[in-house]
Amino acid sequence: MSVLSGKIKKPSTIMTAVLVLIAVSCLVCIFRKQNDSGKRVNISSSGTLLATINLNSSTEERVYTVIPATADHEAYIVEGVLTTEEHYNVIRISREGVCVTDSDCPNGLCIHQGIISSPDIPIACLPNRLIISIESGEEINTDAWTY
Amino acid sequence: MPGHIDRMAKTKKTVTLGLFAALSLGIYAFESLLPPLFVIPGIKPGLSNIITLYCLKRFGKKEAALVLLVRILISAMLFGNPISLLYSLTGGFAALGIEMISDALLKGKALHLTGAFGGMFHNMGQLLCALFILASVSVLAYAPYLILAGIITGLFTGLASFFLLKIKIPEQP
Repeated sequence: MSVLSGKIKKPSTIMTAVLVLIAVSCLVCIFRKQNDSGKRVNISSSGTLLATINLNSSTEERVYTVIPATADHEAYIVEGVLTTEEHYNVIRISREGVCVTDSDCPNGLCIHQGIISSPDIPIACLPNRLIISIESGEEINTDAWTY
Repeated sequence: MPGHIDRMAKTKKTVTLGLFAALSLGIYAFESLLPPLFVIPGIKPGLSNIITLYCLKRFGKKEAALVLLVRILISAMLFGNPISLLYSLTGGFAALGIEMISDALLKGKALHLTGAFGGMFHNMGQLLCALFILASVSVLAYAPYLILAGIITGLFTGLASFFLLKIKIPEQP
């Protein structure tokens, strides 16, 4: 092949190769499975960890409401539904996983994400600065992520 | 009078760039009406990048940056909030920056590659912004999805602006 034997003259060839490489590594990251046992649900708002709840087969179904920080108060979490505040996310935790059931955010993407039960993808609500992530009890293979 | 002609040309350029900024804003508004493509926040077609790339190729770097800035500021005033402005600014200028570099490296050829790099860096810029605003590393789990989506949508917008550049816009006398 002329590309391999001679000098690579076209910058477009190199840049295509770079793009393909990045795309393939992204696909590998997406389809890589992580083991899940002894999971915990971390609920944080604006970077403050509000609650950590164990998630296993004996988890009872519970509903929480997260109120993001405003000028007047810090972010807080309450059990039950509280939609009287200006901004809110209602979260339901059950043995199947965790999901956002109600939110005041404009596009409702956090609700559309449905129930999550694996550490692969957290639920994020950007307007309300909410992150719900699942942490597996075992140590996550750190060689896969470079923070 | 050369000064007069200079001023005429300058006015004409201002008006043309203004029109392109309005066009970009229109496309952005249309895009924001579309339902979300995917459950992950930030994945969208990025159609207004077509205009940014077009301005970069047709008018130059400074002009493209100007059109982008005007589009971002007005769209934030019309549909957004200060936080969405921050996301738009980091994403938009990360994309434009890499597009300038990529276009120079490719010597103006293969615009779809420039678009793909732009799309990728747009999403990476926004992710970096989310990292600071949400102060949580867990958003990094979105990175592969966002980068992949950026490459795909960027290829499309790059191709679209390539075909747009082929169209001769008639000069008004």
